[in-house]
Amino acid sequence: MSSDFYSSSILPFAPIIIKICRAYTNTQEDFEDYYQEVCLQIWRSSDSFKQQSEWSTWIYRLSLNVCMTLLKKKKSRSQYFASDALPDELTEDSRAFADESLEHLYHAIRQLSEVDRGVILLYLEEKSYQEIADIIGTNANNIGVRIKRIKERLKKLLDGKVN
Amino acid sequence: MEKSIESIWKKGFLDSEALVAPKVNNLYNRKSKTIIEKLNRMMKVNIYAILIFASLNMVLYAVLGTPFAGIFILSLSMWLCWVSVKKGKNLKAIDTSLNSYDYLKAYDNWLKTAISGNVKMMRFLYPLIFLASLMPIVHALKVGEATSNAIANSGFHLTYGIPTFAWVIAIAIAILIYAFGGKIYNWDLNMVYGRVFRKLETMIVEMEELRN
Repeated sequence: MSSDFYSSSILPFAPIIIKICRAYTNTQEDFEDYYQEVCLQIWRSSDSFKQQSEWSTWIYRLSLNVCMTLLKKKKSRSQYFASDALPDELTEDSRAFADESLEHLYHAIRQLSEVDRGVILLYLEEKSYQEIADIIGTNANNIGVRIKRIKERLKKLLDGKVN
Repeated sequence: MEKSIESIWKKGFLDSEALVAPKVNNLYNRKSKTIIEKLNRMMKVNIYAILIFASLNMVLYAVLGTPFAGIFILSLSMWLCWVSVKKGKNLKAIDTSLNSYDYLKAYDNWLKTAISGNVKMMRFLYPLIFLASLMPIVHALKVGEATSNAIANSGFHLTYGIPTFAWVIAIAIAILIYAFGGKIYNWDLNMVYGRVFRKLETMIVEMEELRN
């Protein structure tokens, strides 16, 4: 990957990738792996980018797909290796955001299913229901209900932690 | 006042420290280690599988009345495994302190040399295993009263109690197997290791692009 491509096409969108990768990983090491894998996939797949959507939307979609795939792989590996077998929500997060509330929110997000994590991240990034549906590959009509349900779940998870 | 998740999100990311991108490096170091470990693991499993299969085969052949054919196949398999283990020892000569690209290239070169050596070996092994695997059939034809009588009365020219033309066909097939031994071996190899080999190749190509 040339440094030009990285600095012009990926780095401006790094915050998106970081936010997504953080939601799918518990440790700094995993986070760095996921981030680098996403960057690599963007570079590999950039030729297939058809300008039907915005570059940022495409990056959201690709980042979510890569993170979900890596998490699935990790989970299927954990079935075979007992040392890895702790569910994500029970493993200690080796990083911490300076903002405690954000830290709690991320902890709660990581307890959601892979798809729900993607939906809520996109919602928090102020994507429209239609955009969320396009990125996730679902019907826009269902997104509103789903977001409401996810927010209720998050509220329950955060209850007592955030005032 | 209770904060909404939206406000936590917005406020949290006002802090620029929260969005520091990690450096894109070291990924290939980890990946190259993983892929080589995976290949080595697969080779080990393959060696055990060959030995277990050949041992079970020997028991089966003994039951079928041709223990020597079973022992012969087991000996060939043991020799094959011994050669593989010996070649595997050369792997340790590759300097693991090399950078990922050089390490992968060195591994790839070792693999190619090992495969070309195996092709030569397997061209002989496949026909021998094929001929040995015919022995239980030959034995059954000779031992069975009805079959042995039928063969004896068939009017064909016999060699060791079996029609000579059947031996000729078997030898012709063995010669064909020898001729296509390389292709059979590559097909066999591709079935077991194809995916990992392609991954290794893609990785080297990508790293070459990264270096340019």
